[in-house]
Amino acid sequence: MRGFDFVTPTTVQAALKATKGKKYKFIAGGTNFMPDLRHDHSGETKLVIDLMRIKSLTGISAAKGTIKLGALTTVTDLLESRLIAREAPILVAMAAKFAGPIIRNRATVAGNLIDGGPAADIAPPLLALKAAVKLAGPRGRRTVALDKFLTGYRKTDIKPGEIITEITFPSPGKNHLHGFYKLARRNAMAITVVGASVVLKMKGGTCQEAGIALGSVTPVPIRCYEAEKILEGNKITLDLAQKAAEACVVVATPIDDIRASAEYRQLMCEVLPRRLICQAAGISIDPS
Amino acid sequence: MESLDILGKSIAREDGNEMVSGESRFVDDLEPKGVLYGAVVRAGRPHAKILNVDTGKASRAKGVVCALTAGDVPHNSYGPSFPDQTILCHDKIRYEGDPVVALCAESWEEAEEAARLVKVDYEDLPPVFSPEEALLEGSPLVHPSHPTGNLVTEGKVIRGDIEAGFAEADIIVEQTYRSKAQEHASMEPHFCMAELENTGRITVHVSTQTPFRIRGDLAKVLGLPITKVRILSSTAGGAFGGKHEIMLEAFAALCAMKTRRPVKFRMSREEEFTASTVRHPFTMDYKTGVTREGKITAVQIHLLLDGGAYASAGGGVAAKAALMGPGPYRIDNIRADFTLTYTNNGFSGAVRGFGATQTCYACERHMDLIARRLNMDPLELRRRNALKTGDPAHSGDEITSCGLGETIDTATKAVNWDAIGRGAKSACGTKRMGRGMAAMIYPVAGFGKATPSAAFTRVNEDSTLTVIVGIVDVGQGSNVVLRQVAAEELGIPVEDVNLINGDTSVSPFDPGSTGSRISHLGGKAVKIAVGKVKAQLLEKAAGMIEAAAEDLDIRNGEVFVKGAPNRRISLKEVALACHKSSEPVVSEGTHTSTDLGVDKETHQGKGFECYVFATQCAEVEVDIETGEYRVLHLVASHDVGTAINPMNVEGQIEGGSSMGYGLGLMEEIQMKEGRVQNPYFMDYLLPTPIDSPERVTSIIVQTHEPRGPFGVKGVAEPSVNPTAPAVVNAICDAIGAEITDIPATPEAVLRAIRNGR
Ligand SMILES: Cc1cc2nc3c(=O)[nH]c(=O)nc-3n(C[C@H](O)[C@H](O)[C@H](O)COP(=O)(O)OP(=O)(O)OC[C@H]3O[C@@H](n4cnc5c(N)ncnc54)[C@H](O)[C@@H]3O)c2cc1C
Repeated sequence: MRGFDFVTPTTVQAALKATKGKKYKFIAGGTNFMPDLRHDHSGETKLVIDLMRIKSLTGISAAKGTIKLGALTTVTDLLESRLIAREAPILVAMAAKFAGPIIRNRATVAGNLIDGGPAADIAPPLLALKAAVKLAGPRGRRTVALDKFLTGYRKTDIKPGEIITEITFPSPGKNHLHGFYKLARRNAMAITVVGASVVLKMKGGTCQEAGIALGSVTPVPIRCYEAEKILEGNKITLDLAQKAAEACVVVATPIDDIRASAEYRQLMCEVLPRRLICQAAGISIDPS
Repeated sequence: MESLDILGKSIAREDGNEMVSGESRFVDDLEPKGVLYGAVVRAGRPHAKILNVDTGKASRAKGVVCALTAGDVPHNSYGPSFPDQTILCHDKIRYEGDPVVALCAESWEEAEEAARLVKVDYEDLPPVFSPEEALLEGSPLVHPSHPTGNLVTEGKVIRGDIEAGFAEADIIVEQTYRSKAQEHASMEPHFCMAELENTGRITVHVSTQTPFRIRGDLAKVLGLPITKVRILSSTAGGAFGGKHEIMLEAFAALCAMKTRRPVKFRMSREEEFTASTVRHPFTMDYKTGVTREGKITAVQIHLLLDGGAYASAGGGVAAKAALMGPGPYRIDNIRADFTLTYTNNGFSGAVRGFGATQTCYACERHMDLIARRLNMDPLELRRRNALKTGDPAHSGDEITSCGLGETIDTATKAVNWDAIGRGAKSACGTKRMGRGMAAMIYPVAGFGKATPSAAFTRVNEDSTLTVIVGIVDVGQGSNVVLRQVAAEELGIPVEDVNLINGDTSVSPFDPGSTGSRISHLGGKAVKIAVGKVKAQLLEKAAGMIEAAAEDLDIRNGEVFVKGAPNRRISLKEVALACHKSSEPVVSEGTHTSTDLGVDKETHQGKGFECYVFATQCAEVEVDIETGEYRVLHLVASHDVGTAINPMNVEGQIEGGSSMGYGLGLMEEIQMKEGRVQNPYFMDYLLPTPIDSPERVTSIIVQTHEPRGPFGVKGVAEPSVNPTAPAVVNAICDAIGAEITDIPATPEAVLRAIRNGR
């Protein structure tokens, strides 16, 4: 670890300005940044720009059917927000399984998405909610759908000098159903082996719109468009859930690593979406 | 049985509050003026020749004060069993954590930065990673000079006639079981600090279980007499067998001697995984003959251990594993072979349970397999074979106290054995319920020879008692236990006992806090020493109240005439009288068991001081679609002899079962080409409170061990042993399929379900 300058701007403009002509890194909660730093002996980073004091990047709000999460929204914020509990309880379910209380207090939504790791836990529920990422940069502001923003293994569409300012998603409405599963080798403080998120907008027993996403089975969390289509416009049955689950397996390209084999992950890509869809729709499963 | 005042009471340990409030001072909290900070350059490759070591650039780096290579070590050779280790490698690397250079600087950061500047040229050698391969003709040799090649050592336990035993059997059940390397995972990694005194004596502050072994080994390495080496064992944040041999002490001492400044060394969490001992991975072949009625007629076991790069305590681990391998059952025909190998993996050593943990797993898993073949309740099978007081242990020595039957009864009752498990569906369609049990035998103290403790005592002029021991409390709570023993024996309140320990320059020798030996052997030494001063005080009191000494006793600080308690005198007056008449009230106590010793060929003889027993039962719920499980209830019933401090015993049982749970279900050092793949807590998974059993019921079964002080046996290590098999047996019961290898991760459980169909 080598020394670097550390600045604490209080506005987005000041933060953007600070980046000009520098080898910089942003830091939010620091829960990815700090562990990475321990193993970085290159000394390349000369400037660290702390985003945590920028008020305009905080807060959870709802307006005209859109839910907005400030980039600095922490996992604890999600866990404790009444608005989120009402509008998008899948994020509460996710937050309850995320790391442990100490990390949750610092870990931010934007930091999780920027990291772009396959096991980023906030991504699958946000993908299922069809979220978008708002960015500010030297060329102004832009909005990118989250599924387009996450481009590959630890890669995102963020451009040099850009900051995530906000994550937004359309409110899935009062009658939506959801399911979240984090399969990991430990019940807390563990990296996800397979993650699955399901959001179903229902009308009179029919699925109007579905959002299904998986984590840790592709280089970056993904939406399962085919599976969503199978459910949309239909009454949910065990059979249909099974078909959607099989469509999830098709998009998964899991690998073997120290946490699980590709084979196990592949199996779970079927089990978890089926289970989540059925549980959400109140269908009982008895695999015996 | 004696009637006891102080023993059997849950007296809080004196350091409890400061531990939980963070006020305890560990070695790392010592910051003397001018202290330097060390870092170690380790090989980072499994097997190589060292061609050249260049510390030039590192020595000139900012803040660096001194850099050591092998040539700076006066006597560069040591090892707990035999000297196969070097302090710093000079010609050869045998595993990734092998140290090549140790240096120190003005700050931790500068030391670590400089360590990266050391240039070592290597020529890689063909490595060997599996014990099976290591034994093949023509395999690369880890220690070319070792007379038996990669075979570190082998041995056997022979009892009865194994062939005749198998001939009596109706069925024979064979299976192979495997366990993986487990890290001690003490909260406090290895730390030490060395200071050179003007007299030329080197003082090392270190968190250790075995201060006297460290003193002896360090003195040899430094080429100094033991009087010139003083070990101050500081507050320890856990040890579990990991702080039982020299790790960093020589680096710190040599740097301190060169620089004449205090020097600290520490291990990072990564080094704990890659450069210190771990639990031996075992491959265990079991073959058991049993009659249709469930009587075990013969057991044949073969154990293959991966010792890694150095022998460490491996020979003892292997032999204890073999001797405990047949389990807590009366079996007349036994053959248990063990083979310990060198490989280029990280080196294995002592870990709580010392090999018997692994064989307890295999034995108890195997018992369930046998029960299934016999179509018999696993509880019934265990009851029919359970050892009893007076039976021979597997080394042939008589078991002088055995509470196994009571642990089986109490554990199965508390878990409600007959009403639970057996694959019942839970309310949710994807879950199945299971029940499992595991029993255990474990020996107290080191084996085949006496390992006595000793105590010095002094009664002060106010009748308080000072006890000096070489025994260290590494977190298990032995300090309060020894104080209770002393207080009970003398008849004074616990608060009046002052225990001094941890300084090798004042304490009597002690073999260390290992082998679950302290309450039993340390307790015995303290009891004997205190008994001597008590006799002296009674003699004095006898003159003061005109009674015969043998008619007197002491209780709660009062000397009284037995049967006439009104005739009394306070102990204070007696102590003061001794003081005034210049009669020092001091003593030394020790006890060496003379009956210990086993035959080298068969491991028959008197193996151990005594034996403890336990039964644990688990109730689990398994998700048959994902392989995930939850332990709803774990009952741990342990025969510990007399429980000196029941709260401490429960603490050991709960902590031990958590460690056993980790071994059986979660923890695994993953090796690839001799490199640890998960040397940090992010991917080496210890159970958190929400992974551990939802309910733990500890039951203490008290037997009276005639050899123990006040009937005491022990509890520290054995609490780790039955948990893994109890839980895995419960999972197998739930899914109706067999698992042989641990850890039984959800993935492994699902594989068993799918294969079992
Ligand atoms: C012990 C531990 C447990 C963990 N457990 C989990 C877990 O269960 N699930 C999980 O998904 N993750 C987990 N993580 C990873 C981490 O906590 C999360 O990914 C977290 O959300 C990262 O957010 P942060 O604010 O801490 O990011 P930081 O570390 O501050 O930043 C990460 C990256 O994002 C960039 N960045 C941050 N904010 C912005 C922004 N607004 N605009 C542009 N760039 C930005 C930074 O430059 C940096 O490159 C864990 C980490 C630790 C240390």
